[in-house]
Order: sequence, then C-alpha cells, then structure tokens
Amino acid sequence: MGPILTLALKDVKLVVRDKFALFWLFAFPLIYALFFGAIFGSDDGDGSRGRMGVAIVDDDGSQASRDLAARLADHSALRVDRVSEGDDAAPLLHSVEDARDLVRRGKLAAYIQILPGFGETPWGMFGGGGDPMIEVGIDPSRTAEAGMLQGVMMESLFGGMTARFGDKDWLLEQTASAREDIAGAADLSGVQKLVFSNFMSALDVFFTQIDFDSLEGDGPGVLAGGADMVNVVEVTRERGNVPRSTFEITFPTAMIWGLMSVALTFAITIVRERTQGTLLRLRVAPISGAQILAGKALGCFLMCQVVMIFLMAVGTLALDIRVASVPLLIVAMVSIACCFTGLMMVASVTGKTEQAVAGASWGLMMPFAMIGGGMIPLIAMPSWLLTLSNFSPFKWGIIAMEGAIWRGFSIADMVMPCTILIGLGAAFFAVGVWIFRRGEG
Amino acid sequence: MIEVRELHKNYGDLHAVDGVSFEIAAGEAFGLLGPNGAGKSTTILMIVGALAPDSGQVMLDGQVDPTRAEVRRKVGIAPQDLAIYDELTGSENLAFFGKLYGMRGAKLAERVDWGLEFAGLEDRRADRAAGYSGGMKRRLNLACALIHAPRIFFCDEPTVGVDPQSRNHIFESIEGLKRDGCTLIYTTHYMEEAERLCDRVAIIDSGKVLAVDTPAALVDQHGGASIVEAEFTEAPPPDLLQRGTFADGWLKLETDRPIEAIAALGKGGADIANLRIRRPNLERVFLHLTGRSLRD
Repeated sequence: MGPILTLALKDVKLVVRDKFALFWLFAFPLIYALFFGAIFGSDDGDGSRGRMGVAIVDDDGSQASRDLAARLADHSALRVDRVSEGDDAAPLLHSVEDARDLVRRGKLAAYIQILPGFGETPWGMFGGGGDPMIEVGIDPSRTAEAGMLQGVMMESLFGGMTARFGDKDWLLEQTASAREDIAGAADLSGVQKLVFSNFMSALDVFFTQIDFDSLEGDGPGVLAGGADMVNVVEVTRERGNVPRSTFEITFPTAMIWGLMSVALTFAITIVRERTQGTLLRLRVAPISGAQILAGKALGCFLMCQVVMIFLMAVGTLALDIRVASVPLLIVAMVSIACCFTGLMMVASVTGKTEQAVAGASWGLMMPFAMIGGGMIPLIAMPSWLLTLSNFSPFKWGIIAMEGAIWRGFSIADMVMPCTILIGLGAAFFAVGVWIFRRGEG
Repeated sequence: MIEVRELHKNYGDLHAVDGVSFEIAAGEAFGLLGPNGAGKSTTILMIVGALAPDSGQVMLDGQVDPTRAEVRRKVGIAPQDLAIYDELTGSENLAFFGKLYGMRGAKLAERVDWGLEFAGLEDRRADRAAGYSGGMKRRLNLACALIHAPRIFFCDEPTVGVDPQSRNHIFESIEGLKRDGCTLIYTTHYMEEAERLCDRVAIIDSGKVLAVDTPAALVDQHGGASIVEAEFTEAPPPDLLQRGTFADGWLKLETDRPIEAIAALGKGGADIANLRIRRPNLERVFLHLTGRSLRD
C-alpha cells in the first residue's frame, strides 16, 4: 500500500497545485450549481415561484369589486402585483389595455377584468341569465392554467358570497330593502304583500337571533368557504420525496461535472508522465505496473471524494441542502468515485499526447453528460431520453446522489445505481489497463 | 556486472537495435557513443527492463530478469527527458522518488539533503522545479536517479541543453560516482564527454555496435594519423609543399610522428606564423567507422 499511497498523494498534490485544474474541479461545478440553482429556483425573493402571474382590471370600482380584487391578490395560487411592498398592500390595478399587453408579451399569464355593474349584481354570475360580470384574458394555449384560473375565480366569488351572508347588518339591509319593494309593488295583491312582508319579518328575527360567530371556524357550515370542501394533499413522485430547493437538483449534477473534470485531469497526468519521462522512472522503480496504475486510480478516487465533499459542504452549510441519509450518501460517493476512476483510465488511453487525450476525453464524456442529465435535469427529460440515459454513468451517479439527498432511497433502492456505477467503473478500468499495457509493451 | 547478448528491437522495418552485445565490469564507466537515433536509449531501456527486446538477453548483477524488485533497487536511471515533476519542489521530487525505493524517516531526509547538495540546489530546495533553470532541472534529474544510492547508474545524455557551468557540475558529480565505485553506463553523442568520463566506449550506429574498447585504444585502432597544420608568413618552399596539402595559406601534414614533422618544417627555411597539431579522437574514430560525423 505504501508506494500506491505515495503515488496517489503525489498526484493529488500535483492537481491541487494546478490552478487551471482547480478551477474546473471546484469553481466550475460550484458556479454551475449556484447559477442553475438560482435560475430555476428564482422566486424574486417573495416566494412567488410556481404561482400564476395575473393582472387585475377593476372597471366596476365598487366595494364588491375591490373585495374580489383583494381576495384574488391574496390567493395562494396567484401572483398579483401590489401598489407597494408587503402582502397587506392593495393590489395594483391596470387598465385593460395595459393588462392585455402584459399578457401578450408573456410578462403575465392572464388578466382578470371586473366589468362595470359587478357590484350591483353580485349573484348574476351564477347563471342568473344576465351578462358575465368578469372577463378573463389568457393565451388559448395555456389550457391548464385557464382551467385553474376559473377554479380560483369561483373560489374567490364564493368567498365573497360567504362574507356577504355572514354579515348580519347587510342581511337586515337587504330584508328592509325587500320589504320596501314589496310594499310598493303594484303587481302584488294585499294578501301576497302581507305574506311576503311577514316572511321578511321572520327573516329579520332569524338574522337577529342567529349567532354568526358560531358559524365561523372549521366544519361544513352553510356559510363555510367552498375551498374547505376540498382537501388538497401533496402527492409527489419518488416515494413522496421532493427536493427542498433547486440546489438539491443542481448540486448532484454539478458534482458529476466536477468528477468529469477530475477524471479528465488524471487521465492527462498519465499521459504527461509518459511524455515527460517520469513514467519511465516509475517503471524502473521497484514497484509493479499494477501498483503504478493503482496509485493513479487511488489519486483519482481521493480527488473525486474531495470534490464531492467540498460541494456537499457548500451545499449543506450555505444553501440548506439536507442529506436524507449520510450512510447512503457515503455509499453513493464511493460508487460514483469508482465509476469515474474507471472512466479516467479509459480516457487516459484515448491518445498519445495531452492534447489528444483532452480532446478525446471530452468527446467520450460529453455524450454521457448530454444524455445522462448533465445538461438537462433528469426530472425534466422526455421519456425517450430518460430511457437512453440508462446507458450513461452520469444518470446513475446523479440518481445515487439524489437518492441519498432527497429521493429518500432505501438501501434496496440504492443497490441498483451503485451496482451499475461500480460495474461500469470496473469495466472501464479493465479496458483502460488492458490498452495501457498493450501500449507500454 | 552487466552482460548484454545479441539484443534486437525492431519497430516495423526499422532495426532500432540490431544484435548489440557487450559486457561491463563492476565499477566500470562504460560509454555508448553514437549520433541521435543510433539506438543508445533503446538499448538502455531494454537493459533496465522498461522495454521488452524482440530477442537477446540481459544479465544485471547475475539476474536475468531486470524487472525484479531486488535488481531494480540496485539500478538508477536518469532519462534523457527531464523526468521530474515541475509542480513539486526540489526536495519533494527527491522525497517522492526516495519513498518509491522504500526510504522513510531520517534515512529519507538524509538522502534528500544529499540529493540537494549533489544537485547544488540547497538554497532552492523549497522552490518548485518549474522555476528552475535548465541546468538546475538537469542536475535534479540526476539526483532523483541517485536518491537510493544505486550500484548501477544509467545516464542518458545528461548534458543536453545545459549551460557550461552546469555541464561541468554534472561531469564532476559523475566523476565522484566513479570514485565511489558506481558502475556507470553513459550515453552521449559528445565524444569529449565519452573521452573524459568513460573507461571504455562502445561506438554505436544504426542499432549496431561498431567497436568497443578504451578511448585510447579506439583512437589508436581507428583514429588515423595526427594532423599538423602550419601557416607561413610567405610561400613555403616547394619541397615542403610536396609533403602535404596547401590551402588558404595553411600547410596540412598527416603523420604518426608530429614532433618530427614540426622539426622538419622548422628546418625548411620558411617562417612559420602559426602551428596546430590535431590528435586523432573519437570523432575521427566514428568518422572512420561510419563515414559520417557524430553530429550528422
């Protein structure tokens, strides 16, 4: 073990002292993870990511329309600009022209226009035969969002109704107003007027005696909001585990990029040993060829671990990435490092010069990266590409890392990706050693 | 100490080494003298077991397998390339190669200090080799090969591209190794180096050994006569001109007895402005054996 460790530590030292290599091993993966994590995770700092941006146009200007606008602005599924900072601020109202322009230019998904007269006919919306009091403008291709927006609209309108029917004073005003209308109605007989007036009086008694406060709270009360009738539960893929942030997706991918750089760097060191003559010196030392290659492999393996530990440390300490299982993370890291060590050995025999190996290695690894989730996240891949990605060690590396970080893999779940990684690593290493020895023979 | 028998190595149609044979005694300094591409380095690679010969046999210290660890511990090689790590310091380079030979602790530290002194790099021990001059790197290259105090030392063109000061340092270092009884195999295409450092020299060209002997014996056998050249203040008498060739004011005489020839010139009645004697050397030996110059 002595000479192997000596060789490995020498290579690690050489790599650490190479500023150019350091950039690709540490800085680039970190930049990658932070950049794409920030882009895909961007919510403008207000938690609005995943919410549908809409503009509100209030052409009615009544209390009812203002209430509806406020309810829409407060809805968790919508993102509505406000007149000032803070969730308590009133929603920013647009002209219909501005709103339509914002949607047309893709700045917002839709606009909601409350038409004049909405406040005068609050229930006309429910099939009363009158004209619609609200207009929604949305791109016809956004079918799903249109459906969701209709649902949000209905929920908000029912919320308005609930508020109205929970307002005792408003209800008494309505019965008083109805009583005046009955008294002045020319098409009602005296008996009919008496019956309806008594009914309104009974309603007054009912509204006066009922305890509205007791109708609030949980339960399917007659005035309860419609949303309470539907319980929304989160059902996610992968055994109910989801990444807590986009960094939990970008960091495993970035690690694989870093390990690709490690493999490439060490592949080049093997060629450099040959071209600068140090390989000859190693070969006439009292160590075997197997020990020389094992030293290279151990150096690459150790450097892979250093890169992964560095990125995990940044992720966990600075970006709140949480590891679901530390033991499984260690298993994943060992398996991935084995795979990339094998890949390094194959890459080292793809050319006779440093330039040739560098070029050929990128040519070897880039397709793996392209189909394996190095460029497009696995969770965003179409099914056919996901099938193709089975042939890439990148995919299994990312899955193993994600399995330990946020997919909540069990030991049994981890067996397949880790076995594939170690198997691929062994196969790559064997092929690389065979070609290397043929070349040195 | 070293026995080489009928070594052959071909690369396609090229016979890089074509039946090379020689023997080297313990403590002897043996030179392989030949132009670039003559097969010197390939021969060395096969002797140390870094390259498998197509045929032939090598015995190092009585062992037929030069790849055995106990044989390799006795052997050091300074390749023609600068086989050091630029990103490591001088002492780190030495320590790394020392560790490969099993040295640790105080013994390793002692040998590292020796190596730095040997290479004249005590003051630069903590500097990375990348910042060394060509001569410093060349000296460190030698020191790395000697860190484990080998009994057999292969030195492949150690003075290529170095300044005169470093060259002299290298010569003195190698002469020190000779005094310490190290068996030395030295390849070069500089005949001055072979004459100065080697007890015996093998003239090698196109993969074949053309002659093996001491430098003096080679010169005697293949060097030809000495050449006396004289420049006269005026045209020399006709009887002097008949003894040699005259061109550009210089008379050139080939003779085995140069002192007598000079005396004869003095008695010839003409004033001599300049006089040169060129003794036969290994360059002339190579020219005689191959019809080409060493630097062709």
